[in-house]
Amino acid sequence: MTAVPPPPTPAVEAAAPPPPRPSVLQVTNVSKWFGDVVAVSDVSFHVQPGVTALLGPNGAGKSTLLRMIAGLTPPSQGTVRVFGEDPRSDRATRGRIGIVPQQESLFQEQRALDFVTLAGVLNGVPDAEAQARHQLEVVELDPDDTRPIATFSKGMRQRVKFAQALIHGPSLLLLDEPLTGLDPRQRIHMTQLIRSLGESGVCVIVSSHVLEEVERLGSDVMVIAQGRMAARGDFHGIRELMDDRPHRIRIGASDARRLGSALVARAGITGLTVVDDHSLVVDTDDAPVFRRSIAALARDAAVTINEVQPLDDDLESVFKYLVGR
Amino acid sequence: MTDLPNSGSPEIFSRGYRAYEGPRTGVRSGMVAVAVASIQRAFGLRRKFRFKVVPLITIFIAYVPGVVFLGVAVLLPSELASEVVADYAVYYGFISISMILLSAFVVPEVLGSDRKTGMFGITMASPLNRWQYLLSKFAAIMAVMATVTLLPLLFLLIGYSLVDLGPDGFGELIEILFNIVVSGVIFAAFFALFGMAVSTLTDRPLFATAGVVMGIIASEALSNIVADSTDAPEAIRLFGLTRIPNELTVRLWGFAEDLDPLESVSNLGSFGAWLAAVVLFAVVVAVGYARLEVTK
Repeated sequence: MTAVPPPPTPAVEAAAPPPPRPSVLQVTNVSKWFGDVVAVSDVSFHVQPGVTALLGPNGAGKSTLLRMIAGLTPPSQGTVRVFGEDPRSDRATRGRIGIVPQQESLFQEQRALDFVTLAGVLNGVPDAEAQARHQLEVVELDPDDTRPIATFSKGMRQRVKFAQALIHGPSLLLLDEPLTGLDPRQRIHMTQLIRSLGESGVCVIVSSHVLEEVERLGSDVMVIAQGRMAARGDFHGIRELMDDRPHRIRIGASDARRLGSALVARAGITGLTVVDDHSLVVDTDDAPVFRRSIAALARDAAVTINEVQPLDDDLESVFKYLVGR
Repeated sequence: MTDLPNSGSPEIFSRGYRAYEGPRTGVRSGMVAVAVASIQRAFGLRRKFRFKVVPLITIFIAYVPGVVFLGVAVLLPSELASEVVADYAVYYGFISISMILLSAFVVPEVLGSDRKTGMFGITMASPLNRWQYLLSKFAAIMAVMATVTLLPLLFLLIGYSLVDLGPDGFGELIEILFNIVVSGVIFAAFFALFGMAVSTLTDRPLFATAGVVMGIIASEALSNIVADSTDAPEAIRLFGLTRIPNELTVRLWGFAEDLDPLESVSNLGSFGAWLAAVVLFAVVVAVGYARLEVTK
């Protein structure tokens, strides 16, 4: 039998990798200080379209960072580029940024429609009043409300600010504590709106010190503490990276003591507490191995497992570990 | 199988959010919007009555003497009336008071409140830069001040003309109109920029008000005390803030009863003092805003 030579390999052109998506926002080695106070220290990151949460305790430097991104204040050091341009010097770039500031005072005597229309005119929106009406409806406010903004509730003022930030159809939306003061129903509505903006391709950066808010907005977080970037990414992934912190897992079992006896001899278990006959809490420094082996271990010990629940895999735990609170 | 009534390719039109990439109206409309909002704020429009009090007082001070003079001119014979009614140059005494009130109470409200409330940050986040913003504010303040520097004098000119106390001929009419406009600009620019300079130094309108009032009183008192009690040249009186525009205006009008320009100061010197003061105030505003950090 004659060996058939393999057919010549057709020349396959190496498929060119897709071009990297340009970052909407590129922050490089940015620091900001006010006299002796360092508000932001050597922060670098880039952001793509979608919702990114900027999480940090009060005074961490979140608002200062947002103001630098909006071009309102210059960095003391480093560069900020929005769509590749400096927002401080490029007028067209500023026209693509919408900002919801933390302050609520603004033009208190104005009607919401007048204020949002003014924001539209400032940003060069043709037919600003019609757009203002639309945006006020989007945030569930009555455009024909004749009351001045000063008489509005905190949540209503917050929504007015949101409408003024949206009126010119920005591609980058900076929201400084946007859900403060909203009642639960409004909070759900605004959260949905923020998420839908992110899904539509808008780059939304939301600053918050409220963990529940951030958790609902998505998992892409930037944790900032004392002016420094403490972590960036999916918070479950961040938690996995924190090797020095044992993972705490609650296990519901038919016989917690017997399962505890079996577990305590295993490597990687750093602590174990039997809560009651059917529940125990385990500390492990190797969560993936633990998750893979627990089922076999329980079978060998003739114990039925009802629940395996990570106790510190949520954003709050990650935040506590990173910020040290 | 049912045929679709339209054989064209099906299409889905997303109605979701789209970033606006269309034409924009440009910076000019934004500047106009800032100016209009500032004028509304200055006059207390759409605000509580207490915000309208100062504008009403300034208008009262600027217009009521004119009404009184016209009333006198109507009631008295023209020979006697011409002795009683005020010259145009003398009328700037009333206007000075209105100017001080506007500079002290209205300008800080127009300029400083934006920084206090965070509206300055909203504006700076738009395509407007801080120079365009300041230009809009200056234009708005000048427009507000024109209501007390230009309109009362035009009102007086029309009134005097109707009772035969007006200009003799077209040439004098043009001269008076020119003087009214230039004098109005001299006063308005001076007090607008002075108020803006003081307002740049503090975010609190109340502090700016106090600063304007104290600045005027202190400069007037000190310059007069020094001029009266020392051998300092008479020109030292030009350090009195209200003296500077009044001195230049009197010279522009040629003469005025009861108003004596400083003899040792030339017309050019008077103009130089006004220009130096205006430039100084403008520099304070420009430097202050160039260095201003947006923290709200």
